Amino acid sequence: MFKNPEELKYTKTHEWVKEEDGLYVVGLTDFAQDALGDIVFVNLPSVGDPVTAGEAFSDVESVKAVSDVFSPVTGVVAEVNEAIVDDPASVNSDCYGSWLIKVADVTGTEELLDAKAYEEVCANEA
Amino acid sequence: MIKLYTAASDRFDVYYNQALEKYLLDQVKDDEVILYLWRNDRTVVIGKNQDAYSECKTETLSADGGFLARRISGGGAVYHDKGNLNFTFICKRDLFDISRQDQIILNALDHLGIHAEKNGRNDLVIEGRKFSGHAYYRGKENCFHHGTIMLEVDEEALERYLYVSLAKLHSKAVKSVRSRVINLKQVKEDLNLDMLQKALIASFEEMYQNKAEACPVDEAAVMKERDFFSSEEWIYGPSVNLKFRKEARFDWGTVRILYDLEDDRISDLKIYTDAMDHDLAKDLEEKLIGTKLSELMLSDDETGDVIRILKEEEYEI
Repeated sequence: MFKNPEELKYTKTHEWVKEEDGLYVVGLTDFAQDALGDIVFVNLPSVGDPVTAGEAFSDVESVKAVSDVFSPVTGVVAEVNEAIVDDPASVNSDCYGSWLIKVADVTGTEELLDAKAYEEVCANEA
Repeated sequence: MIKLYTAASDRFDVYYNQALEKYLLDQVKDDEVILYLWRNDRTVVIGKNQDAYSECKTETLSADGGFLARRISGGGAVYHDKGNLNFTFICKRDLFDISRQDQIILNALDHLGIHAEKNGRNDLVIEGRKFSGHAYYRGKENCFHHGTIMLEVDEEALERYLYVSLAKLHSKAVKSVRSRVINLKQVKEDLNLDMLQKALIASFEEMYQNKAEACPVDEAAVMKERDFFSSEEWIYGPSVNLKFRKEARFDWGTVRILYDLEDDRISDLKIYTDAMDHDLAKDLEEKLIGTKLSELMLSDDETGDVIRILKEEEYEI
């Protein structure tokens, strides 16, 4: 059973997002980190880079696959989590604490799911 | 029924071959699987997140007329020559099945009388020795699974062009793992490329129960992709812009330094070393960037050795 906290919103492509002090915080879900396996490298965008809902903004490398990570929102990168660049495994151990980016000036979002609807997406893919 | 395509490159140019792979990745449609077979001449291919200078002896490689390439999938550095056959399975996510794709290769070899198996690292091995290393790329919808199949690769070239461990500084970059390798020809002397390719295609058709057709290719679109894969920015990353390169060997380790100068001031610098002290490179980078070369004092330690490299021309590479 995957942990999907109630207070977060989710994408079908397995990112989580939450609004915090006017910024949208984005990370990978428990399902995603489990499917990826041990993460060895995270490529993050730079502060100031634009991101577009539904388009890749980052990629993560796990034991061997490189997988794209998609933005749940359209906006501008306000902060990146440098700590996970130094310790990519923290995305596996604490996926909801190890956010990837915070997005400002959000003008649009992907179709966002609540925890219950997202659980169904996971169940269908498992 | 799943529609099957095969694609083959008749060129040994790694950048063209990578471009064709990317083109096929972007083109593949629902209910299609593409098997692409290709070979490169004397090429080191590093993983998406590897550091070129810490993996590859780039000067030796280019002096020998070889090429360095970066792939979009993960994993470690590999050496290719014409004795190595590369395969790529390309399809949408819902058809992507690594075990099934591996099985196609294992069955093909089985038909040739070679017993191989998968190991824990997603490599294929014969009696514990690797002949096929695999890596994967997963986009939003389109995926590929590619890898090497060593038929008769020059094994000595591996050591000639790849560093075993000059990667301590970029502790963040992905490291290569060296394995004991074996060429298929060592197992089956009369095996040749044509037999191997035919066996793979037959096994591919058998697995999906359909006949494969040749995949149409838009050459102009492939050539456009080639520009990306052959660009220095993609292959070397941002450090390619550092103008000065020096290398030296000391009793405490080998050091390679890339740096830029603005007049006399070190404006940027990267140090690669296999020194035991893991923090050395990072500490030195922090200490040296922004300082004036003429004001640096030589000391009788590792820092002094590095400063000596910076000051003296004889270490230029």
